[in-house]
Amino acid sequence: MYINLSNYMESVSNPNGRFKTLEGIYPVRDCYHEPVMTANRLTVNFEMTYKGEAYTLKCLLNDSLCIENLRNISDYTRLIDSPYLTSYTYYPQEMLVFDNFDNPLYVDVILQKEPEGRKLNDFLANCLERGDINSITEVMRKIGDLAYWFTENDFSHGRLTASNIIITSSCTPILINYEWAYTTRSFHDLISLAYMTIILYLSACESEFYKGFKRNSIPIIRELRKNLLLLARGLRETGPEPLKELVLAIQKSRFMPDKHMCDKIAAVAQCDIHKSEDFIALMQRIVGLHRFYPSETENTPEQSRYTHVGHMNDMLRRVEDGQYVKFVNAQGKTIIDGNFSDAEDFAEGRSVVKVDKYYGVIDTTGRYILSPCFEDVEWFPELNVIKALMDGHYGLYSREGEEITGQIYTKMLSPGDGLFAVRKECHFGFIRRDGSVAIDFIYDDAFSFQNGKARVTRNGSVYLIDTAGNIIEELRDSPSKTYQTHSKARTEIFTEFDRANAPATHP
Amino acid sequence: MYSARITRHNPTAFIFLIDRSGSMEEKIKFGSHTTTKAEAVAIVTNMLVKELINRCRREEGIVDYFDIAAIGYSSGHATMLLGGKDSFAKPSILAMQHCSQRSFSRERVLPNGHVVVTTDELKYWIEPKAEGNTPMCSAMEQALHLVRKWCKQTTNKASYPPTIFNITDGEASDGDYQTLIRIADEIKQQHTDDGHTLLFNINLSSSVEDKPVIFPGSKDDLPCCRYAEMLYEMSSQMPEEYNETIRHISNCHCEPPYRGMSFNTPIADMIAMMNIGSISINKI
Repeated sequence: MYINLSNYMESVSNPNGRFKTLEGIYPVRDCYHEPVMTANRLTVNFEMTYKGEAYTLKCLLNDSLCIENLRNISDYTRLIDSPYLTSYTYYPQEMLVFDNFDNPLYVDVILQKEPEGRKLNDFLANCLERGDINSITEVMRKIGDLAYWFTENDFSHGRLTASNIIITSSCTPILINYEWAYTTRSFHDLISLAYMTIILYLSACESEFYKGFKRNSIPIIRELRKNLLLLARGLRETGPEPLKELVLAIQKSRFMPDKHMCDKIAAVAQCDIHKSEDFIALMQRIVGLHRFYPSETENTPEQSRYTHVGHMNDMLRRVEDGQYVKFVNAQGKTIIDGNFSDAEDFAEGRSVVKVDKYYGVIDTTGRYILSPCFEDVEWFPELNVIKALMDGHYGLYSREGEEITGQIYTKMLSPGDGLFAVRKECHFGFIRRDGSVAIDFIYDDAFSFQNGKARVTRNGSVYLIDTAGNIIEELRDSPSKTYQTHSKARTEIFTEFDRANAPATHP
Repeated sequence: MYSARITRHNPTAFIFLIDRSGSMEEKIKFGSHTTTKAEAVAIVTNMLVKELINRCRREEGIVDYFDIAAIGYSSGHATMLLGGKDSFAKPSILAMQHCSQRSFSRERVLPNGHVVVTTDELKYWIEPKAEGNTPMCSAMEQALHLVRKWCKQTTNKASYPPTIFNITDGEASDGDYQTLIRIADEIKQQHTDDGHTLLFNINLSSSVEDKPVIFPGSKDDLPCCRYAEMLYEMSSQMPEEYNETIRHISNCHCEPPYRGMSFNTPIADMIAMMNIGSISINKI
C-alpha cells in the first residue's frame, strides 16, 4: 500500500460514495476550491461539515501511529463525560482511497468534533486587543481546574500546546488533537499548563510582554523555557509569591512533575494582577534580552529586512536583501558588504563570493584572498585548498591565495580520498592537494575516488584502481568506451608487464 | 545514513530535470486517457510539487521543509522552471504563486462496480512543452551547480541529501555518453553528512510493446542497449533504506542493491518511481 496525502485529498474532494458510515460529510473548501487542510507528522487533517456541525477528519500518514491507542482514546472520550474533552471517534476501514497504483482500499479515519471557540493563542491576542483582562483571569482559573482534572483522570494529552486548546465563549478550555494521547495518568501535561498560566498571567499584567516575543501569537513554551532562569532570578526581588513558587516548581520538576503543581497553578490563577514598576521592568528585561540574544535557531530582529538569513559561521551570518548578499555579526551589524550577487557561508574562515559573473574568495574581514576574476571557484575547507577555473583551465590555490599548480588542467573533478582527478592535455591523472602527482597522467578517462576506489579507462578498458594507482579489478565494458574521442584499437593491453616496468605511481 | 529528520532548519531538496524536446509530443497512455508525454510528465510533476507543498501545511501556515527546483531542457538550452536563476523555490512561495489551474479527471471504479469520474484541481507550476532538441548535458550541469551550492550551505550540512529526478524519453543532443556519465558522477559526489545526492533517471517509453525495466539490480537486467547502460551508470545506487519499498515495484526479480533508474517506463511506473524517490517526505 502506498498512499500519500494527495490520495486522501482526492477522496475528501469527491466524498460521494467514499464513506461507509459518514454519509453526507463534505469538506470545507478554500478560494481555490480545494479542501482546507493541515498536516503534521502523524496525520493530515481536513476541515469538514457533517450534519451541520464542524469536524476535523484525520487521515493517518505515519505507520508508527499506535492504532490500538487511538481506539482506546476514542472509547475513553465516548465513555467519560468531561467538559475538557471533545468527541474523538475512530472509524476503522471507513474511507475509500485509491493509492498510487489505482488500487482501491478502505482506510481508517478519525472524526474529531470541533468545539466552538478560539484557539488559546487567538483568544489571548483578542483579549489583549480589547483590553479584556477579566476573560484572561477567568481562563487562568479554569486552567487551574483543568490541572486538577489531569490529576484525577486516566488521560494524558501528550502534546499540550496553545494550538491544542480551544477556549469557548464561557472561557472553558477544551483539549483537541489526541494523536499523542494515552489513557494513563501522568503529570507531564501539568508542566505545559504551568507555562501557559505564567504566560497568561504575565500578559495580563503587561500586554507588551505578549507582543514582545517575536511571533505574534502566544509564545511557544520553549521560548519561555529559555528565559525561565532569568525570570526566576528576577522574581527573587519582585513579583507575586505564587508566581515565584510556580516557576520554582517548574525548575525543580525537570522531567518528573509533581501532582501538587496543580495547587501552584491554581494559586497563580487566583492571584491579583501585579503591576509594580519593578515587575514590569523585569518583564521588559526578559523581552528585551530575548531580542538582544537571539538563539541560533531563531531569527534576528533584523530579519524582517532580509529575504534570507543564514546560520552563524565563523561569527558571521550570510544575509540576502533580494539583490545582494552580505555578512552581518550576531548583533545584526554589517561586517562585509561587497555587493556580492551571491556568496557561500563561511567555512574555516573563507567564503566563495560572486561579483557580477565572476567568483573570488574572501576572508572574514572581507579581504580578497582570490580576486573575483574566475569563472568558477570551489573552496574545500577539509583540504584547505581552492579550485579555480579561468579561461577554461583549472588550478589549485592555497587558503592564502597562493598558486599551487597554475591554471593548467582542462578538467578537475571533485576531490575524493584526498586526491583530485585532473586532465592535462589529453590524459587524466590524480594530484594531491599540494599539487604533486599521486597517479600519473596515463588514463583516457577517470572519475573521482570514493571509498578508496576510482574508475579509470585506458586503451578501451575500464578498471578500478586504488589510491596508489594499483588495479583492483577490470570492469565490464562501459558505454562511454564506444564514444571516446580517441578511437584506438585495443592493441595495448594493460598487463602485469606494464605494471612491473612502470614508475611507482603507475599501475 | 539517509535517516536525517526533515525540519524547518534542516530542509531537504528536490530537483526535477524535465525533457521538453520535440519527441515529448508523442502520445502515451495515461490512466484511461491518451495524452502527450509532455502533458503526462507535467501532470505528474505538478502533482508531486503539490504533494510537497501540502506536506508543509501546518497550523501556523506553510513551513518550508523542502527546497524545490525544476529545470526544463529543450531547443539548445536548460531553463529554470521553478526557483530563481540559480536557486530553489520554497513551498511557501509556490503556494502563493499565480499560475494556471486545470481540472484533472480520473475514472474510478468503486467496489460496488460503479464507475465515477473524480475531478481534482491541479495548479500548473510547470507547463508542458515539446519542441526542439535535448540539451540534457546543460540541464545536468545546471543541476550540478544547484546541488553543489545547496550542499555547501552550512545550514544543509546535516540535512537529508538532495534527490534529483531526470525524466526523459531520448538521448542527449549536446554531449556524448561519456560527458553525461561524468556530470552525473559529479552530481552524485555532492553530499551532506547524511548521504550522497540521489540521482534517478527515468526514461519514458514510446510504445506499450516496449518492455520496461524498473530499479534494476545489475546491467544483466537491462536490454542490450548502450543508452540503457548509460542511464544505469548515471543513476545512483539506492540506499538500503529504500529496498523494501523498491522490491514491491521493481520488475527485475533481483536482489538489492538497486539502481535508481527505469527504462521504457510507462507513466504509472514513473509515478511509482517518483513516489519512492520522494519517500524522504515521510521524515518530516
